[in-house]
Amino acid sequence: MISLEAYMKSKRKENLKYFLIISISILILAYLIDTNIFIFIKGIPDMMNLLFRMIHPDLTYNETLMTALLETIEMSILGSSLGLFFSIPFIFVTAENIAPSRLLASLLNKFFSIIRTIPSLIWAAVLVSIFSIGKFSGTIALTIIGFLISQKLLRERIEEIKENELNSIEAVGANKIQIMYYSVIPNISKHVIAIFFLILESNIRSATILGFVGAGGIGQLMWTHLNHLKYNILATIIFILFFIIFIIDFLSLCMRRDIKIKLFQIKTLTTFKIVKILKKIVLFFIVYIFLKTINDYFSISFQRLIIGIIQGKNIFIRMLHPNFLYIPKMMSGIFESLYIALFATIISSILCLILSYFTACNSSKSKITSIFFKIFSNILRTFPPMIVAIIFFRGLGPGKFAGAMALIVYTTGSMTKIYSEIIENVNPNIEDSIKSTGATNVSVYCYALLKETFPSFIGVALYRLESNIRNSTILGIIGAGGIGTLLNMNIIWRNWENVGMMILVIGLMIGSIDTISRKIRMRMK
Amino acid sequence: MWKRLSVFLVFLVAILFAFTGCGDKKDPKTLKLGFVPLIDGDKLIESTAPLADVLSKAIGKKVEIVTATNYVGIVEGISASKIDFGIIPPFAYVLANKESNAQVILKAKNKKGQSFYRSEFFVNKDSGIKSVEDLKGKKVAFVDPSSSSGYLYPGAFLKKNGIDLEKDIQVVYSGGHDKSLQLLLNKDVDAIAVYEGAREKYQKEFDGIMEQTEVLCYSDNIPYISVTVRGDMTPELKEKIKEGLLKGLNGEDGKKLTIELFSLYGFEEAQDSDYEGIRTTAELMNIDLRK
Repeated sequence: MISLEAYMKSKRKENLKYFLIISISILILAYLIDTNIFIFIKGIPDMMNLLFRMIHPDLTYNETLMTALLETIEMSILGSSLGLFFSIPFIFVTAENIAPSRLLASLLNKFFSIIRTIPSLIWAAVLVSIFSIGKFSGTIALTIIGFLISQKLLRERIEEIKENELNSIEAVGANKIQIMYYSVIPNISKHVIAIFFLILESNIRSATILGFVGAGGIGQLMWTHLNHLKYNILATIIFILFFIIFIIDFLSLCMRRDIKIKLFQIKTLTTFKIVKILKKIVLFFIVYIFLKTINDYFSISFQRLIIGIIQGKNIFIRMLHPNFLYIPKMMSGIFESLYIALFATIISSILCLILSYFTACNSSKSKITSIFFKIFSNILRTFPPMIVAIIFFRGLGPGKFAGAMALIVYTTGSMTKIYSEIIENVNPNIEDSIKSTGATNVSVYCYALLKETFPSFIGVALYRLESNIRNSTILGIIGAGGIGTLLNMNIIWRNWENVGMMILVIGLMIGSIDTISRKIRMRMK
Repeated sequence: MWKRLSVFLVFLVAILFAFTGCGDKKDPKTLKLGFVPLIDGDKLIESTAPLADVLSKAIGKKVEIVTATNYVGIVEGISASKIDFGIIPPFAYVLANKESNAQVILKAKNKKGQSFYRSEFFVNKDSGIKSVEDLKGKKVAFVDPSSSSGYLYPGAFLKKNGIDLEKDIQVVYSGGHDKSLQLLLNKDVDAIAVYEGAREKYQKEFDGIMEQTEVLCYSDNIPYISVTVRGDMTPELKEKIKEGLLKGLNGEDGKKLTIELFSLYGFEEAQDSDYEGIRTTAELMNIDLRK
């Protein structure tokens, strides 16, 4: 039995230990990526210059923009819903706490984490081979991306369900399916909505892959104007995107908070039944429209499909014969990417913890602060990473420091979004129980909300780390080196053996991050 | 908690201050060379270190090479004086010149000793398309609306030959020179426009492409890669870099390296007027590049 004082002392010691570990790792990483605050301060005018050139949006430019935008939204909605839909059966098999077979679950998870490392440029090459170019390929590409994101995020949400919750249902004699129905599904349904909107939003925002498969879209338009340095038109597009993303964000919040417009009240059993039937009919029509649109996109003959499948298969076969001689050439790139990604993720995580306090509507002091910070984190996210990268390139010169700064901006934005939504989904009971002891808002955030969701936070942070390592475009554009540049060039040159080797190494790295992520989250639970 | 966090932030700032060291813009000790690998080139650059050595010796200052996958960063770097000079595509030079009065000093030569390259239009042999006129009503794949050799020049060429890109043909963008070739091979499109030599480069990847396809026509000449210096550079330094590069890149070691790395066969002096073609072509395609 230890006294309270001794306990507090040991606790403080432990906290100090974590604090030192984090600080020292930041220090080492800052050194490795050539951090220099003076260059940063000196570069501010140069960065402002670029921002000022963006301030004059050209609102007359809209016709091509609107078509591209509508196309992107259409394909994104289709792709995101299909991706989410197909991922759901896999989630039940891959979440380790409810999976029928643990072995199968961990094998599948390894498989998916390797698939996730395949860059979108490779998907583009394969899809163009198989389905030619156009909207069908574009939708399939977005479906694949959506599938992979939702498989990972939803699986992690399920794995965070408390074990005693599952046990209590099992104890009353529920079978596996009943556990799913009464415990798992209600638990994740809010997350499903949040994740759907998250995928939708990221598909709309970064629809560059649509350009790679000849499906046009807003990404290609942005890229073209960036290449012509038409910053005013870029600003217009960003402005519109920002508006759309804000609407999506609002929709997401409304749907999660059950703010429904009550058109008619259900009072009797018959109206209840009618509503149920109506719901089914509406669902049927939505599915019908979906299938019809996809069918309209599909426009190639069967023979062409066969030729395409053979070509697509060749790409994979060549990737499965990795060129081991390439390892020494890529190692420095891999380490550069790792340092930059680690530094950016740690800094963003700290910023995210602070920002989330203000952003989540249940921890924030007032609704207005919450909305203000939601707008702020949306701005961080809506600025296309490549433009942020170029702004920092202009200010800080080429190199790893600029790359890390660019990653920090985007990572902070997207982490704050995901994490603040997780906080918003916390059961109000937990918050209230701490509040009832007279705790302030900040303590509620630190000791209830944060503690409750910390495993999710670690998951989100490691997910961002993973995608920061993979993130190739940003670092490549500004000459920050990293594995991304090499990977992109090898894909364009179609050196599939080298590409296979790189994916193998990145896959191993990300696979181990994934394992660490799961270990940490399991222990914290 | 907040106290701890603020201590942490102060600590963080202190860390960031710890690493310092600044340069001088008028007469810098090290020169930064920005380099954009050409997608239309035929070599993948793996290490630029040997070239940096050759250039450092020739110029008499340490040269650091920065490789970026897209020219926009380099153009912005040049206009903010973060990059001293760049080996960049012609379109990027024109943009840099417009934005910050960057000056071209040298242009590169290709295998044949020419300082320009072209785009090729390809069709399938059995397609029955024998002239530019025949393209009317057909599906034509370009690479990407921002590519010089994959869209601007071939598009302007069609326009000059009386083909309206919006009304007479169906335009699709493939997203890559390699993908354009594949689309033609699979008969998804009737004609494609890619840089000259693309078919040879990817012939191993796409079986039968040499036998199945043929050249329909060529675009106008596209000026070749430029060496561009930042606009606020002193004339002495500019001259020094120019002399050094001519000496270094046309010398034995330098030439061998540039051939091996970039397939560039020597450099010669260039003026702004050499790149006027880019401006007129861009104008024809509704892109304003004049100051």
